[in-house]
This record gives sequence, structure tokens and C-alpha cells, in this order.
Amino acid sequence: MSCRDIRLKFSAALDAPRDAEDRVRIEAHCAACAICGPEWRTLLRLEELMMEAPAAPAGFADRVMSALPTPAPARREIMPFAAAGLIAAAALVALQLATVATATAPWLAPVRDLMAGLTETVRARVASSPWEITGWVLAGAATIGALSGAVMGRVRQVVG
Amino acid sequence: MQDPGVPNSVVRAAQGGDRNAFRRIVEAWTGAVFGLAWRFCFDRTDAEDLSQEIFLRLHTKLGLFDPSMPFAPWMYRMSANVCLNWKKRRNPRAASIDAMGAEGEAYDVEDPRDPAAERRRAEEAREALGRAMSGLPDEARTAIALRYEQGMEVTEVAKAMEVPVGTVKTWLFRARERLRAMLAPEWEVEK
Ligand SMILES: [Zn+2]
Repeated sequence: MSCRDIRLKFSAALDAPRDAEDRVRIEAHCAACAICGPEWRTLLRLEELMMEAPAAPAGFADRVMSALPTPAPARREIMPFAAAGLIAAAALVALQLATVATATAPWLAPVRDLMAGLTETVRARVASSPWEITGWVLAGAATIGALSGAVMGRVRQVVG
Repeated sequence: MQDPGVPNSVVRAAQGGDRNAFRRIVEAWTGAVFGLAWRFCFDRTDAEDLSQEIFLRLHTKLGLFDPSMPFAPWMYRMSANVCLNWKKRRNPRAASIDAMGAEGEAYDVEDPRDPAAERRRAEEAREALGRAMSGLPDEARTAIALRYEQGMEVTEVAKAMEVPVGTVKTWLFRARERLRAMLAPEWEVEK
């Protein structure tokens, strides 16, 4: 092979196995040739540098995951909170209406009696064990607070 | 194909918004993506930024992948495209050329057995390679970066680039010839 033929085969030889016939011939030629030899050695140096690469830093996957956009929660995750809020609001309205209505309408006397009975029971409980009632009120307030906090958190996630 | 081996069922789950599945893809592909990114910039910090950019792009483009097809060639192709289009936020290459000009003379009088000098020479050689690589046409650059990413076979490069094997061989030939011509004076191997 001429020097020109040798150099035309450089690239293919680099992609061939080390013991491929052409590669062995090229190696032998370049060991002795003052023109092809340096070119071949530059290509070997290039290959050496192209082969080596540092490893990715530790914790790289964490970095990627935290850079991803935060997914919006699915609608069904918000539904229980929204439903609970609506039911609570409806119950409060109903209670207010019932209080106003029972104060005047005579045909609602049984309801009025029931409410009075309930009120009396509550009053008696407060009188006998005020700390227990205070506990229930605080627990109720905490539940409502937690519930509305969760709802607002979801709303902020969706809006933001 | 140097396939990090993520089952397509995991890819499908990630397409459906499963973050754990997406994380599995990231973990499996970090080495390959970082290796490829490195071969486009030869700078550790840039390779990290570029790798992150590739995974963010994957997150937005994953829906376009057809899960009845093999994932690896698609992933390599998408990654190489991000690498080619990536614009550096800063431009240290221009600065490093000036720095090398000034420091280059000082190196001549250094002890060649000094490990610190040896490290600097290796660093310079990589920087020169990075500059030469960025001067290649896109196809040749992609072909040679993929070829040396985990020692990929020419046939695998062809699959990832969706071109015939002969075309890849031509690109590799041109890439090597141009890189050799650009680097020979800098590396002084051919004197
Ligand atoms: Zn020769």
C-alpha cells in the first residue's frame, strides 16, 4: 500500500478491531514512515482523549429531579377537601335557618323543643364538666383549622 | 446500542406522569448522558449544565416518544440535538485562548516530569480538542461524540442518527481528518 492508501484507511482502522489485518499493516507502516507515523499518532492521541470522560457527580439525579417543574395535583385530590368544605358550609347555613325558623313558626314547635332540649343538655354538660366541653371546642377548632389549611395549600399549588 | 436498559414499561409510566419512573430513567441514563455532554464541551461544569438541560428536555418531550420503538436510539438522538443547540451561558473558551498564549511560554521551561505540569498539559489538550470539536459540522461532531460515548459501534451510531452505516463512516473520516489537522500544531505530536 502507498502512503496515501495507508492514510485513507486510518479512520476505518480505528473503528476495526485491533487485530484486524488492515490495522496491523497500518501499525507496521506507521512505525517506520516519517510522514504517516506522526499523523497516525495524532489520531491515536485524539482517540485516547475522546475515550476518557469524568463520571457524573454524585447526587446528580437528585439535582435533576428537584429542577423539574412541580406537577399540579390531580383534581380528584382536591375534591374531598372541597366537598368537606361545602358540606360544612351547608350545615352551618341550615342550622342558622333552623334557629330563625323555630323562633317564630308554631308548626315547628317539636323542632324548637328538640333544639331547646339540646341547648339544655349542652348547658348542663358545661355546668357539670366545663373542661370536657372546652376540650371538644378546641379539638373542633383545630380540625377546622387543619382542614382549611390543607384546602388553602392545595389552592395555592393549583394557582401558583 | 449502549442501552442503559430502561424497560419501555418504565418509559410508558413516566409518560403518564409517574415521577418515580422518570427518576429511574434519569438514574439509568446519567452516565451515558453525561458522557455524551462531556464530548460536546470537554468541561465538567458545562457537561453538568448540559446534562441537566438534556433531562429537562426529556421531561417535556417524552410524550412524543413512541413506546413501541426502542428507547435508546431516540434518547441518544434527542440528547445529541440538545448538545448541538446548547448555547453556553458564559464563554470561557475565548478567555482560555488568551490565558494559554501567556502561560504557554512558561510551560516550556517547566520540568516535564512535574505532575502539575502534566495535568496542565492534559487540560490544555482537552481544551484544544473542545475548540476543534466545536468547529466541526454538526453531523461529523455528533457522529464522533456518539462513537466514543461508551465505545459505541459504528452500526449503533448509525441507528441513533438514523442514517446508513456508510454515511457514519464518511462523517467519522471527515471528523478525524479535520480534528487531526486542527490539533496537530497544538499537540505537537507530528513534529
Ligand atoms: Zn507512509
